[in-house]
Order: sequence, then structure tokens, then C-alpha cells
Amino acid sequence: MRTYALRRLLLMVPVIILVTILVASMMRLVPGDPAALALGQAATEADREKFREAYHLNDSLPVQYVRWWSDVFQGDLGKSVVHRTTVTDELRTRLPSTIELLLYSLFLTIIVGVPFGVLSAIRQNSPPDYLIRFLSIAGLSIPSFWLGRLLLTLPAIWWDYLPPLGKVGITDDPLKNLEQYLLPSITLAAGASAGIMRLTRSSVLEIMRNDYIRTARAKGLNERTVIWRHVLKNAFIPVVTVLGLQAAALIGGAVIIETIFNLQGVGLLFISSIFNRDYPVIQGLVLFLSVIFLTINLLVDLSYGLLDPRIRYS
Amino acid sequence: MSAARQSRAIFGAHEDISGPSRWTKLRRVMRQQPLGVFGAIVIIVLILVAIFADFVAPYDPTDIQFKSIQSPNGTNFFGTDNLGRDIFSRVILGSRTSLEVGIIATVIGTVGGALVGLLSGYFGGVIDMVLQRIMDALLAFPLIILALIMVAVFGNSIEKLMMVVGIAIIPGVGRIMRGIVLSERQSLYVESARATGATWQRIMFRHILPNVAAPLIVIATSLLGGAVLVEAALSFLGLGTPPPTPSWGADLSGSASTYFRHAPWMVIFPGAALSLVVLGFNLLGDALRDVLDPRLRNR
Repeated sequence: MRTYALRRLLLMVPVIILVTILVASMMRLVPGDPAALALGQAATEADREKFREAYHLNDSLPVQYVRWWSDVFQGDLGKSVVHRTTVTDELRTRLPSTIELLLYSLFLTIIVGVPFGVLSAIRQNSPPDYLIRFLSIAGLSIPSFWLGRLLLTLPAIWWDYLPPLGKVGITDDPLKNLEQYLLPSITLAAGASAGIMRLTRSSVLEIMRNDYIRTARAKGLNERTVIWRHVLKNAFIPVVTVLGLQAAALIGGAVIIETIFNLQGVGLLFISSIFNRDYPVIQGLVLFLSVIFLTINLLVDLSYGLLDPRIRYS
Repeated sequence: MSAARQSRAIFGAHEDISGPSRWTKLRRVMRQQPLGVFGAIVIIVLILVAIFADFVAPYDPTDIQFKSIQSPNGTNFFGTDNLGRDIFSRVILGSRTSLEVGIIATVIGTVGGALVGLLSGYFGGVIDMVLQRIMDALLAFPLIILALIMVAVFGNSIEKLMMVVGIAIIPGVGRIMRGIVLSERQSLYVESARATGATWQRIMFRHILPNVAAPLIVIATSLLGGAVLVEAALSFLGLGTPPPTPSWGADLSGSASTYFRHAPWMVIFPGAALSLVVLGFNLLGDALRDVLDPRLRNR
């Protein structure tokens, strides 16, 4: 197990190097001069030249790339050419918001997805099952940006309600903070919980077909014990791992949700830096996001072994 | 009904054994998959709408010819937007963008992914190693972020969108296909083909490919809804289909967000159309998976 984890960790290194080289070289292919974009129309060629000098934009690509890594190892993910801030500072102020959004969404995904998935399976082919299956396929089909827009629009029209604007810190006013993140989290969790519902249902159904479940029933255990002790324990193994994958996928969804609800998180920063062609920020964020994403995926893979002793790593 | 019989019912193999006719079998499958049939009908209708969009849409979707912000009425079934364009016509023409990008991107992604999976799984060794590291690099992000990075680099015409979404799909398909090809490579028919001296191209495309066609079709169908969603999401973020081409995603952003309190119909109709397409593809994909390849049920 330990050697497997170590080997997987080492395998992340070439992937991350490949990712950053790809992104660094692709970013230079983009038409548009970052100096001109950052300084605007009024700047003279001398200004732009000074700007390029200051940001080392004149150096060759390999030199820029190596310098970038040496900065990264000193905790500097790059400087924005548009806002005069560093990526590290931006992350420090924006990450809490994104993490809060992701945690609430994950929480909603679990408390909605798992119980309804179980209910759907143990009442297979009953009206509640049909309803839950319909809701889950609808949840997978409704685009998050439409749902988010509707959740903003309809309460505004019906009850004149708008979620609090501007940033409300969790320490300033916890209730207002919760209110601010409620609609975005529901939007983000809708698709994920639909997926978890379907998976929980099929997983529970599959376990219930096993012989040992028949044995458990045959020896006279009541249904509650059979479900809780024998079915759910085994059915949750794939669910827990897919939850991990969902958590990683939620990062992608957060980009869209933060745009709709104007939450000043990492996703919104990513989108705005793409619009502004802010290469250093894009490059820094790509590194950051891919490390997070790969780490979550690695933890998910490792969790298989912890949850299910039958699985051995080699 | 067993899996083998189900796939026979679809592919019509073993026709020398006289059994129920193809139509009877098809009808039986349709009875077992009512939701899949519903999905198929939705998709067929929408494809017809997209093909004949110019005849279905009453007005030019880009023409500014009405009073702006009109609620749905007899002339403008879905109302008008802030510029005075007919929303019904925009939704109808938007189906073309959505389906075109979704379907072509899925084809690019499936063909590319199948190729990667075949090469990687059949040859193994260095080829496998290199291809899989590239796939790892592409899989190091959520799909939408990968697509965003590529759009930032390549720009956003319709053709580029198809390519970007297609490339973003490749690694997922490639990963699954590699696993399937790895197990197919061990089978007897591949060994006997090799013994008769068949070239690797022949073994790969004439022997292995037909045998992995069923899961490939299932994967492709299940990806269609996602591909449509990615196009819409990119357009929604302002990095997809460029204006004034009608696109459901783009029509949900921008002015729709400014005017939503006065013109909720600007938000409701394009989004409903989008959800319907994705729902249709998802239902169809689920049904096809159950019929063609129950092995993929938990993927």
C-alpha cells in the first residue's frame, strides 16, 4: 500500500511537468500582446518595452519556464500582468470562498444523494422509486447555469428576494454568509447529487442480489438489520469513491457557479484571467488546480483499499 | 432476458436460427425501454427541427425587427429579447448550433479516443506509456477547465469549439477503450488472426474494432448530452459560439442576466430547450447501455 501510494505520487511529477509545459507554450501561441492589453491604448512603445522587461516577457520560452519553476518553489506562483497582484495573494483571498462553496455543495450532495438513492433501491419499482429516478435523470440534464439563473430569477420575481450582495465573511455574519452560499451550493449540488443517487441505487440493488443477503434474510434477521448491517456497508464502497471524484468535478462546476452568483472565488479569477489574457495567472492557476485535482483522484484511488480489504495494490 | 440474447436482438446475429423477426425484436426492446424510446423521439424531433430550422422559425433570429422585451404573445411565441429579436426563432435556430457542436465533437472525441485506446491497448510498451502520459496530462483538469484553457488558446469559432470539446472528450474514451482492448487482445480470435499472418492494422480494425463496437456506441451516446452541455457552458461564459449566431448557452448569459426581472422568458425558453436535448440524449444513452452492454452499467 505504501509503495503503491509512493509510486502514484511520483507518477504525478511527469504529468504536472507535461501539463505546465503544454500550458506555458500554448499560452504563448495566443494572439494579443499582454503588454498592450495591460497598459491600454495610451501607452507608448517604450512603456510597453519597459513592461515586457519588468515581467521578463522578452526572454526565450525555456528560460521563462525555468524561472517560473524556481519562483514556484519559493512560493510565488506568478504575478498578474493586469491587476498588479500575485497569484499567491489572489489565492489567499479567494480560496476560502471557493472551499466554502465546495464543502456546502459536497454536504448537500451527500445528504440528498445517498438517502434517496437507498430509498429508491429498497423500494424498487414503487412510486417513490420512479419519482427519485425521474428527478435524478432531470438533475443530470438540467445545466447548472440555467438552474442557477432560475434560482436567482424566480425568487426575485415572486418574492422580491435577492441573496446578499458583496462579500460576507463567515466570521462577520455567519447566518448571512450561509444565506449567500445557499443558492450557489444548491445549484452546484443538483447535478452531483443526481449522479450519487443513481450510483447509490444501482450499487444497493447489486448488493441485494448477493447470496449472503439471502442467507441473512433466511436466518431470520429483520429487514432493518439486513439493510443497515449487510447491504449498506458494502454498497457504500463505490459511492464513497465516486463522491471523491464528484468533489474533484465540482471544482469545474464552481467556475460556472461563481460567475452566475458573482462569488469572488478562484473560478471567477480563472475566467477573468482568460478574458484578460493574463498568462501568468492562468499558468499559476493551472498548476494549482491540477495539483489539487490529481491529489483528490489519488486519495480516491487509495481509499478503495482502505474501504475494501479485498482490494490489494501491487 | 440474458445479455447475450439482448445483444443478439439488436445486432441480428445468428440469423440462421429462425426466431422472431427483427421488427418483433425491436418492438420488444422498445417495450422494455419506454424512457429510451421517449429520449429517441425527442432527439429525432429535435434533429428534424434543426435540419429544417429555416422553415420552422417564423422570423430571422438575428433580425432586430420587434419591440424589445415583449412577453410571449401570438406573434412572438416566446416573446422578444432586449434587442427586439424573436426568441422563438432564436431557440429554433439554436438547436442547430447545439446539435452540430454536440454531435460532431462527440464523433471527434469517440474516434480519437478509440484510436488511442486501440493503439495503447494493442501495442502496450512505449506507445502505451507515451499515449497514457498525454492522456494523464489532459485528465489533470475537470473537463470544463480543459475546454476553457483550449478555447483561450485557439479562439472560439464554431469549428474550433467542435474540436476543443472533441479533444476534451478523447482521454475519457481512450481510458475505457484501452481497458476493453487489453482484454480483447488476449482472446482466441485475435490469436488465430495473428497465426494466419494478418497485419496489425487488419487485426486492429477488422477484428478487434467490430468486437468493441457495442461499448463504443454506448460510450459515444452517453457522451452526447455532456458535449452539448460543455458547448452551452462555454457559450454561457462568453467563450463559446460567437454572437450573433443563436446559441442557447450564450442566450442565457449577458443581457438575459441584466433583464431577468423584467423578461424571465429570455432565461426560461433557451434553458428549457437545452435541458430537453440533454435529457433526450441521457435517456437514449441509458437505454442503449442497458440493451447493448450491461457491463458498462456502473461507469
